[in-house]
Amino acid sequence: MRSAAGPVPDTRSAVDGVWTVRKELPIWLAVVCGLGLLVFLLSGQFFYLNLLTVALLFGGLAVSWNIIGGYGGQFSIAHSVFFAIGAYTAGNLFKHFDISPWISLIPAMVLSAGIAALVSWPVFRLKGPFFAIATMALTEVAIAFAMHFDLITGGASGLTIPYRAGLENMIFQARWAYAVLFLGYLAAALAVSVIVYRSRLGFYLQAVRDNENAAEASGINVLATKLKGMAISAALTGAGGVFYMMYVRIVEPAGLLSLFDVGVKIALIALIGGIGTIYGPLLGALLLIPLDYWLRAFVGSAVPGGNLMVLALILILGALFMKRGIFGALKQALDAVWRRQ
Amino acid sequence: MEQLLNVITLGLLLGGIYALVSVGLNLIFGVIRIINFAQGEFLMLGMYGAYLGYSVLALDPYVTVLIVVPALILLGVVVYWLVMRPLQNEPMMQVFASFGLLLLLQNIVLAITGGLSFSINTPLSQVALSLGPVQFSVSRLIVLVAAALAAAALGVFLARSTVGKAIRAVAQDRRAAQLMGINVQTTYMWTFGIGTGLAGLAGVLLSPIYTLSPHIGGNFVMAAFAVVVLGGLGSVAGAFVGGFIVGLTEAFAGYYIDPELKHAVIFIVFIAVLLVRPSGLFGKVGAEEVGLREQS
Amino acid sequence: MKKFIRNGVAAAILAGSISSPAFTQEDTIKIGAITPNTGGMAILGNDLARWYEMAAEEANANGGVAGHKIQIIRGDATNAQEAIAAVDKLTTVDEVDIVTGTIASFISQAASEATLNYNKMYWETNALAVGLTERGLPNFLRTGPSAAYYALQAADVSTSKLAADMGKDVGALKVWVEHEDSNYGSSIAAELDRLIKEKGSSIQTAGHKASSVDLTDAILRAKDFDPDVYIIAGYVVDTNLLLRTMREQQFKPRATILIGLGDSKETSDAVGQDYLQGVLIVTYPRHHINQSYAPGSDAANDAFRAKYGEDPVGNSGFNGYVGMQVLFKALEATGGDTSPEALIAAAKEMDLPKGTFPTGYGVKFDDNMQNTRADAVTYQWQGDITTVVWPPEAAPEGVEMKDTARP
Repeated sequence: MRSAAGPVPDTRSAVDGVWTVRKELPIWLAVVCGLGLLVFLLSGQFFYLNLLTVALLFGGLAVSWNIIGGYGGQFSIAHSVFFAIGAYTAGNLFKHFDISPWISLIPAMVLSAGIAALVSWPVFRLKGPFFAIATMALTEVAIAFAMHFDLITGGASGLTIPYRAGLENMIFQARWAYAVLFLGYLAAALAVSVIVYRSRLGFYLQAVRDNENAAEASGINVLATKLKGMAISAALTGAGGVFYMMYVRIVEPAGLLSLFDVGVKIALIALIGGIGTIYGPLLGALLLIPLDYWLRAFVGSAVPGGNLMVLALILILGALFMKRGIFGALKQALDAVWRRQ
Repeated sequence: MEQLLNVITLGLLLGGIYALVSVGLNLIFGVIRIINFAQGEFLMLGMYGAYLGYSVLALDPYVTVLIVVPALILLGVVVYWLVMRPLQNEPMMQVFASFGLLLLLQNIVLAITGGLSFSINTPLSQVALSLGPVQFSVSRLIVLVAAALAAAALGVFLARSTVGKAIRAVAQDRRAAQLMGINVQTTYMWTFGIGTGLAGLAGVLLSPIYTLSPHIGGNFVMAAFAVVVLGGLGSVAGAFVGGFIVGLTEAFAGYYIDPELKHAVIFIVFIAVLLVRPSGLFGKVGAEEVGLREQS
Repeated sequence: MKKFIRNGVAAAILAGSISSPAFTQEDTIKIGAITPNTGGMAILGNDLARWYEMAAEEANANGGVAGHKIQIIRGDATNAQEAIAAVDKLTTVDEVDIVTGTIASFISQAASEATLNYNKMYWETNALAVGLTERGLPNFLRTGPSAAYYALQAADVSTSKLAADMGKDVGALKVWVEHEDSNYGSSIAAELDRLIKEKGSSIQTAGHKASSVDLTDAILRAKDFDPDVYIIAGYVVDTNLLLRTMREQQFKPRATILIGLGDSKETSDAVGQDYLQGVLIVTYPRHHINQSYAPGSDAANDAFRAKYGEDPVGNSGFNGYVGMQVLFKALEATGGDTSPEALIAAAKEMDLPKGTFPTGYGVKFDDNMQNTRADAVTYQWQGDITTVVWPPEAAPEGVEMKDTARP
């Protein structure tokens, strides 16, 4: 029998030493402050500041993805769709109705979550790799629609919004402002991630990930759990799309909905950082994005594609030698040191 | 009526292309359950292999099958042993590594060619046949025949040979197979190798039809994943029939609806079928349940 | 990461209060070139960068520009956020004075806005989207043609020349435009649609994905329409597939026009020169062109071959070469001042007749800072070369348009 409020005894919280949201707070604060300090230090170094800015954005996206992909184990590669919904919502509202993107955040998140729940509902019947492939199909459908319905998306030429700097428009001339903006986004995503992780929903999601049948047998409504996780994850991703729109001010379907540049990339960042952990995805973004951009800027010109070859080798070696992601590798190393002492 | 015949022919020939591309993917995805993003790049390597034989050794592309396919089987075996095997308990990381491979292979070819696109233009590739109002090229017909032959050969191989039986056993139940004394690792290695070799075969046979670019693999692999899941995992007949379903859907949608929307139609049909029959048209019911969990 | 110290100057630059004459501290003018070096556009990006570099070397050999040495620094970008990163890197790490490019319009869009943040000039030579010059960006101009000029040329050759050759009234002419569905093909198709309708001919446009595995459906639909002129605005790979499918399906429009490409080995290897005979190509002017229309074009192409040991990939790089020459002329006028205000003012003053540059371009910018004297031309496959056939004054001595029908 399925019931939403299944009587699962929250045994973990009974065990002493279990982390609660309150105990998690100081770490969250430390991470956000640390990144804030980094933004401050780099604020005159525009190239590196920009690396950090993009890394913070993708960090936020990967943290959002991790809620359903990591905690829930549902390997979606369609998050670019929710990202795009956010971008198109904010772009259109700003362009045609002069609505501040700060306000657009609300419809963007609601729309992303709604569409995510709607399309995920049937797709959640599929499991494991099948689910991933089905989400890939969703991306393809979304690209075709985005190309076709050019009233909303601007078609292939893309949607552009005018440059009108100002806090209310979320468009800034100062470069550090975007870094701060994306840091705020990341901090919010992390906070939600922490709360979900330490909540009943978080435990349900992990139970579903670890063994769906057992989870169902113990009274968890599997579908409702997955849908809730997906909706939260998609809403946060949609918010990321809003910020991204105001940052680049031009989005076109091929780039915005790119399977590899957005959909798969978000998932890979979470994976290499440490899937299912709170800070792993952030760690992945902070390493992978700067690496990608740095190689592009300084290695790329020797041979065509040279930078991506180096990146690819690092990815493969990373996968081979850090099977549980960077976070897992770090934890292992720390544990080893601990034990020796 | 005339156009209807044309569209049906087009759909069938296109189905042949998809079926051929999907046969190898079906092995890798159906048996080892790796989402191998690099499958399209193996196909791309097959194409460039054929081009190399054609431009340097002046070989007919169809002759290069004899060199390219064994070379790719070898590549597949090496890739499995070095990259996929160490990650067998981390299926997500296998996806990650296959993405790394995709990026690596694409950019190696980009660096070597500088991005210049190549074409193979043999006298045979220019021959078009006419059957009443219907026209089609010989190279596409060859692909269709080859797809049928490859599927049949693979079916026989899986049914009769020892390795084939081992592959089927491992696909059904890895632990039981191991208990029966089957070396799972070797079996997986050969599966991956054969799957890669089949991608190479597809690449060679498709090379007279397309203009080669380092990124061409991705054009096929997306549809191939749809075909494999649609047809049913691990079912050779499924991949074959799935190919024709996708091919015909694309042809009809492209001609009668709008070429710009045909990809959307394919994938909507794909999702719809999957919802009705999650195990695919020819898959064993419940096959889709044995997802990533079975391995972890 | 050399310096971590917060730099007060940065804020001043952001405020736009410092303009560039300060650069005279050294003698080199650094130009950052946003040219993709990865992905599908790598080959075009590399070609464009080579032409820029050749233009710079020639200028340096002639004593520099306004007494300064020119240095080109490449930056790789294949999408909008990489474009911003590339501009950041070029302006802050390499400290370039001017940024130039670009192969793709959406890269240009993001890169030029990012460049504005540094109050530097974005000297666009190549990107095609019409909208780029309509944004009113104070640091932006385009020396080459926009997509509109491609469309203008294709529409002109169709209605002024082909219709007459076919003995058809312009009002009875039927045109089909088959375009790839990204920004590049779509914008040309939209412009063509407008222009051809203006002339009173009937036109149908249809899009396809450049990555399509099959385009027979597109050919069958076009065949049903039975156009007199069949225009393809695509990339190399899909254009080749369309041409091969045309041959298979025995689709024989009276005239076939390829936009922007189709004159290189990449196309002739795919379908063979025999099949290409008579095919028209609307593109940037480069070679096999009347030397009084495009003075010095042969010499420049010979120099390129001598320098790099191979032919240019296509014609777009040559358009960039000329764009760079226009920039040097503007820099001479400003005395080496690279600030957007000075460069834009100098560019506005320029009034050079057509035929000044090796592409046959002149220079006269409109209010949006689009060069109005940069025209595309029409080539035709004749024997084993492509040669300019339209407009008549651009065709080499004694060359005329031959039969355009497919064999």
